Formats: sequence, C-alpha cells, structure tokens
Amino acid sequence: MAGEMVEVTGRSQWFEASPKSESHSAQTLRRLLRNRGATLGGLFLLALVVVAIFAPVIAPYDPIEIYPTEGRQAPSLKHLAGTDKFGRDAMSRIIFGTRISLRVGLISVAIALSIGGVVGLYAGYYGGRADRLICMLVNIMLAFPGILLSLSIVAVLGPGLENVMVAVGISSIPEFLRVVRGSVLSAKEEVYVESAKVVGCSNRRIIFRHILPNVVAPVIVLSTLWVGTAILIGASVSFLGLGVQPPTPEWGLMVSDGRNYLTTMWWLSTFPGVAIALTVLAMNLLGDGLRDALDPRLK
Amino acid sequence: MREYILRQLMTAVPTLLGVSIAVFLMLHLTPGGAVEAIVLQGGAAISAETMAQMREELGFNDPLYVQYWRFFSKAIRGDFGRSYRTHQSVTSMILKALPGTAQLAVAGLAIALVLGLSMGIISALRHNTWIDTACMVVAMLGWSLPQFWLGILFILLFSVYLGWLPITGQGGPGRLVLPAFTLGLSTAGVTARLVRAGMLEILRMDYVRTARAKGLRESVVVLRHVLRNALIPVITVVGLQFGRLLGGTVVIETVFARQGVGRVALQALLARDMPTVQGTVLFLAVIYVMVNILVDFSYAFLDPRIRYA
Repeated sequence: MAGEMVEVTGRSQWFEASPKSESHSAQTLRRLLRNRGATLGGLFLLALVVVAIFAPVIAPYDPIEIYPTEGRQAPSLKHLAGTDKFGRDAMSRIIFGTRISLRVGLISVAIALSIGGVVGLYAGYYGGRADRLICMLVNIMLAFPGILLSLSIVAVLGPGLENVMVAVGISSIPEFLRVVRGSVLSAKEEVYVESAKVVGCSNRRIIFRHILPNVVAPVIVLSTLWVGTAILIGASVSFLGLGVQPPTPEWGLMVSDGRNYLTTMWWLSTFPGVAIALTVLAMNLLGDGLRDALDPRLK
Repeated sequence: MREYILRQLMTAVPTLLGVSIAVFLMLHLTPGGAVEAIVLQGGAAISAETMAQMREELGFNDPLYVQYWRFFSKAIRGDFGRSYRTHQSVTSMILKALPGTAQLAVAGLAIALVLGLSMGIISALRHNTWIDTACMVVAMLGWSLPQFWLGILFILLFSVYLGWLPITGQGGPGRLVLPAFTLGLSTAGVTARLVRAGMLEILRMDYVRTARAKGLRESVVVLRHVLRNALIPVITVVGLQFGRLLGGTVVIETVFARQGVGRVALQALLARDMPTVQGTVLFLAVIYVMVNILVDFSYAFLDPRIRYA
C-alpha cells in the first residue's frame, strides 16, 4: 500500500514537473511570453487600451476646444507634442485618437471575421457550386488593387467613421474567407473527420467539434495582424480626406492636416504618425509571436 | 503550357466581368443616384421635374441590364464617358496621367525587389546573427509604417532639412527617388521575409548539402542552387504586392503632388465624379489582373510542376 502511494505521488509530482502535463493554452502562453517582441507588442497594446478607456482622465486638454493664445507652439513640457494653429494640444488629440483607431481596427476585423469566417467555413466544408461562386466573388474583390476597394466603398457610403469601419471591414473579408476556407479544406481531409462522418455524426457536430478547433489558431493570428492593417487602411482613408472628418482627432487626419505646415510646425504630422507606426508594429510583433507560439511544429 | 495559359485567361475573364459590374453598380449605389452627382458638380439647385427629365435623357430610367450593356460595350472600346467635373473624356484623362503612374510603379517595384532580395539573402546567409535581426527589423518597419507618414518624413529630412532632393512634383529622375523609395519600402519588407524563409528551407535540403560536399564555392551554391528555387514563391507574392503598389500610388501621388492615375482616381472620389471613378478603378483593376496573369505564366515557366497540376 505504501509503495502504491509513493508511486501515485511520484507520478503526480512527475506530472507537475513535466511540460507535457501543461494544457495546450499554457504551453502556447509560455512560448508567447518567451518571445520578447511579442511580449513588448502585447504590453504596448495593453497600454493603448488603458489610454483609450481613460482618455478623458489622461489627456491634459480638451481635444476639440480651441485655445487661440496657445497656437503654433513647438513641443514643450506644457504641450508634449506641441499645438496646432488653433491652439489645440496635439498630445490630447493623439490620446483621444487612440479610441478611434482601436475602434476602426477591432470593428473592421469583427465585420470581416463574422462574414468572411462564416462564408469561408461554409464554402470550405460543403464545396461544390457555392464554393466556386464564392471563390469567384473573392477574386473580384481581390482584383481591386490595394486601398482602392476601401476608397470605392467609402465613396458610395459617404465619409465618416462608421462608413470607414464598414468599408475597411468589407474590403478585409477576402483575407479571412481564404484563411478559414483553407483551414477547413485541410481539416476536412483528416482521418478523424472521415471517421466522424462514417459513425454518423451530423455536419453541425463535425464542424463545431472537429473542424472549428483547427481553424481557431490561424484565425487568431490573422485577426491580430489584421487589426494593425485595418488601422493603417483607416488612417490612410482619413489622410486622403474620405474618412473621418474634422475636427475629430483621428491620427491619419492629423497627419494630413499637418502636411501643409511641414516647414513651420513639423510636429503636427510627426507625432500622430509615430502613434500609428508603433500601434501597427506592436500588432505585427504580437501576431508574429502568436503564429510562432501556435505552430504545432514547435511542440 | 498552352493549356495552362488558356486556363489562366479563362479565370481572368469572369473576374474582370465581375469588376466591371461592381464598378458599374458603384454609380447606382451612390446616395441620391447618378443624376444628383451630376447636379452637385454644377452647384446650382435644380427642380425635381428637371432632375426627372435629366434621368430620362441620360438613360438612367432604363433597366439596369440595359444601362450595364451600354456601359460595358463602351468600356470595352476604351470609352468611359466624360468627367462630370472637367467635362473631358475620362480615357484621355487616364492616358495623360498614365506615364506618371507607370514610372512610379516600375521604380517602386525595382526598389522593392533590390532591397527585398538583398535583405532576404543576407539575412538567410547570416541566420541568427545581428545582421539577420537588423534586416528583419528593417523589413518589419517597412511594412508596418504608414506610407503617407514615411513619405512626409522623407520630405522633411531629405528635402527640407538636408536639401538633397526636390520636394514634390513631376520631372526628372531626381523627383522620382523619394516617391519610389517610399512606395517600394513596404513591398521590400514582405519580399525580404519571403526570400529569407524560402532560402532557409532550401539551405537545409539534401541537394545543397551535396553541392557543398562536392566542393562548390558558396557563391555558386547560393546563386545556382538555392536562389532560383527560393525565388519561385517570391514571384507570386511580388505579383500580389504589385496590387498594393498600384493602390499605394493613390497615397504617394497625393503626398508628393505627382500627377498620376491614382491621384486622378482620388480627386474623382472626393468630387463624386463617378464616370472618372469608374474609368480609373476599372483601368487599375485590369492592369493588376494582367500583371498577375503574367506572374502566373512566369511561375509556370520556372516550375514545370505547376503547368501540369
């Protein structure tokens, strides 16, 4: 009896010590945290979310109110990122702009994932004529080079924040559809899916129990990377004058407004651009880190 | 090879038809409709009866498929109608702006390939060293930084403070350097990552080990055995990235005040000048699809397994 107890204890200690006893999520998190770039990116994004939530508390000035006596000031301790010609504090506008950029990124990805993911799942699993038609529609959307699809949709819907989110979301659908469809096609060929069909599992059960778990990892990676891309596209649309309208403090719009004052107020375009660059970089580092952490070949 | 070419062309035709339908529908989905867009250009208020008469005269009361056939049969002959804003032929506006965009796109692609290939090759050959890290950091910065902001920074640094290069506009090669470099940098980043990943995979292959064991110089191993196979997926991505380059001309031409098809498209989008939007967007989409077909052909040429798939 004592010997059996020791064996059970020994085995349980061995389970606690061995990495193989960790859950898949714990292993993934451990690999992610070992990646310095991904950790930095994640921390920066966390900070960004905090700034967005507490913007009214953190920002020293109102982002829209005009202060005529404070106009055209270079960066200083009083105005960390300077002021524009209306005396508006650039740092306060950048802080409030965080809310807009994160909204554009997250909502666009949500739109793309919900439509592209569902349609991609259907096309990949059921195949046939529906799949061919969906692939043709994706090819048509992808034939619009670069940012032109987003710009065209905004031209139809009209300028404004909500329309930018919809436009960027719709133009992002092909990416999500392709990734989900590809993952479903791959998972469909697995032996366990075939076995599930043979024993009479319903399509719904096969999709939710066997197919979807294989789709989650690439979708998480793509979603993370695409939030950065969506923020970049949204800022570009606003920079070009078709997106968010003044006086809303949006980063791309701020860079555009500062363009005419490069020689006299260089800070107006520089600091909002730094904010966009750091945000997109952080998302890319985190997305790359997630891809490495979720890659089964590393197990 | 002939069957492969025909297959690729057969795939392109419905795609381009679909793009033409989407572009045609843009005009009809615009709030207020096409006639209101024309009226907006004129600036004067017009009565409802006059608007209705205009709709009838311009054929906007005809069934949608009739209107589409009219648009399609003209577009196929290169006639996109007249601009609501300038009243010029849209085709002549595109042809006038085309050389500027072509110069920018080609120069941007050349810079992307030179930078991307160099960084990718050096990174792979110096894997896990500080050189590898530095190249990948530059690559990541290239595709993370917003092009419009990068362009503005380059103008500040090279034109305003250093005075080395002209700020904006059209003209000699000097005025192309900054715009092309800004445009090519993000594509260079993606290319560098791909080349590095491809080369690392191939460097581990048995035939590369054999080549080294036979005593071949490292440069011969890399150039003759590794690079050619590593470049095959790069060609596909460069074709796809060409779309990003074409779309990027809209931003770069605006930042550097260069005349080009992208800037014409943007001005038309801002003014809701729909015939010009239709013409420029359709034109750029056709170019992009054609470039991708050429990329597919070169892919099949380099890798015979693709032709027979």
